[in-house]
Amino acid sequence: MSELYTILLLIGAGYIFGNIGERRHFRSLRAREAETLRIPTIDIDVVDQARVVVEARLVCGQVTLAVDYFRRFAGSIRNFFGGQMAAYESLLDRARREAILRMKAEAPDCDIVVNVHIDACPIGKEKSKGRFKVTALECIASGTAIRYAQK
Amino acid sequence: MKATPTIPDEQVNYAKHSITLELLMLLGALIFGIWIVFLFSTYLVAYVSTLIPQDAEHRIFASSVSGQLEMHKHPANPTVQRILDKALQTAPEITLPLKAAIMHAPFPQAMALPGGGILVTEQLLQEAQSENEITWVIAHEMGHFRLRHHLQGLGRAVILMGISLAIGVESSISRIFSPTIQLLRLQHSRQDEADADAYALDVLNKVYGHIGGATAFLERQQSKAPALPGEGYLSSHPLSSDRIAQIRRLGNLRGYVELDLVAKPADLNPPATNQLSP
Repeated sequence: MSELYTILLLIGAGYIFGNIGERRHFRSLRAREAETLRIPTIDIDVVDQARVVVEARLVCGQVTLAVDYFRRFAGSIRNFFGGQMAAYESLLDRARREAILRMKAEAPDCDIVVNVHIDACPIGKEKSKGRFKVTALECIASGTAIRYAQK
Repeated sequence: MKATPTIPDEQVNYAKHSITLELLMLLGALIFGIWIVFLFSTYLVAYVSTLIPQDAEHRIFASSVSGQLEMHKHPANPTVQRILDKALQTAPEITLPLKAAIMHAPFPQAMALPGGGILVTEQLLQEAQSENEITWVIAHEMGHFRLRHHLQGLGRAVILMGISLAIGVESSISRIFSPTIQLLRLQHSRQDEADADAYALDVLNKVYGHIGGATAFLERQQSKAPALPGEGYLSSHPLSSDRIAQIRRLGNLRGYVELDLVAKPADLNPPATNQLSP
């Protein structure tokens, strides 16, 4: 029974602190996305031929977000039944958006970032029988930042 | 082409429903499933236990029970055995050969050993006020044999262990499975104890013609250690107060009365009045 109390305590702490952290992160994401709205991220085959490219370089953004105990527990229960893993979806969304924002931050004076590639990688430890316990998620966004000549 | 930057809908990429509600629903389903499995194992084991003769149970556990009883040599063992034999005369449905012995222990307790052994601690015998009280305690243990609680407990443990192994010891499901099963087993154990109390009441009435002394042991336990809040849910035995209430209720329902008690045999008295230690 002491193990049950410990688990309940961890779930409660994970729920409280995880939700606080998530809300704070979403607020920060919204604010910074508004600031970097002027830098679009799109896929293109050729650059704008009407404009002169002054600079084109690789930019990368990377973030590692930990999974709180509540979401990890909720995800493991969902894993038993199958279906949409809602517990991890907001984490993936935050990780992707944060990686993109950090990628843009590497070239704040660029005009556009093209051909962005996003990669997500779970971090954790392997349990027995090939099962993997996810404790964190790493997301990397990379693209080409292009700065055009001023008109 | 002109690109117009906009902030996208934030909740496109993740679920709009509450994860907490989802978790509660899934946990509820899981616990319900575990409860169904436990119920199934309980009924299956209860049915199978009726197919196993009492003599077979004795044969399975004979060597271990005789070894355990051999460890507890006490000069007053024949007295306790006599009380047990007197109770057994009123219970022909018990064909299992039962043997009683006294255990040197500083706490008042009695226990039934699989295979037909009943151990009663020296402290319990010293604190008992009458022979009726000792008979009730022994009859309670007889009830466990009559109702096949040992076999059923063993059978349930085997089934549940198999399920635990299938789920996996380190999985998150096992962290829900194990405590849930433990709570269910405690609840079942409390029911077993209540059933044994009911059986003991009938035996006591058959031996003495009344049920005087049935609640004495429990009343003493209750006064020594009052129950903590919530203790009843985490205990393998019902609260003493609940057991006393149930005994009195059953006694009234069955029309039993309480009359004068029979004095405790002299050799079961505390060492100050009689030498008990071998």
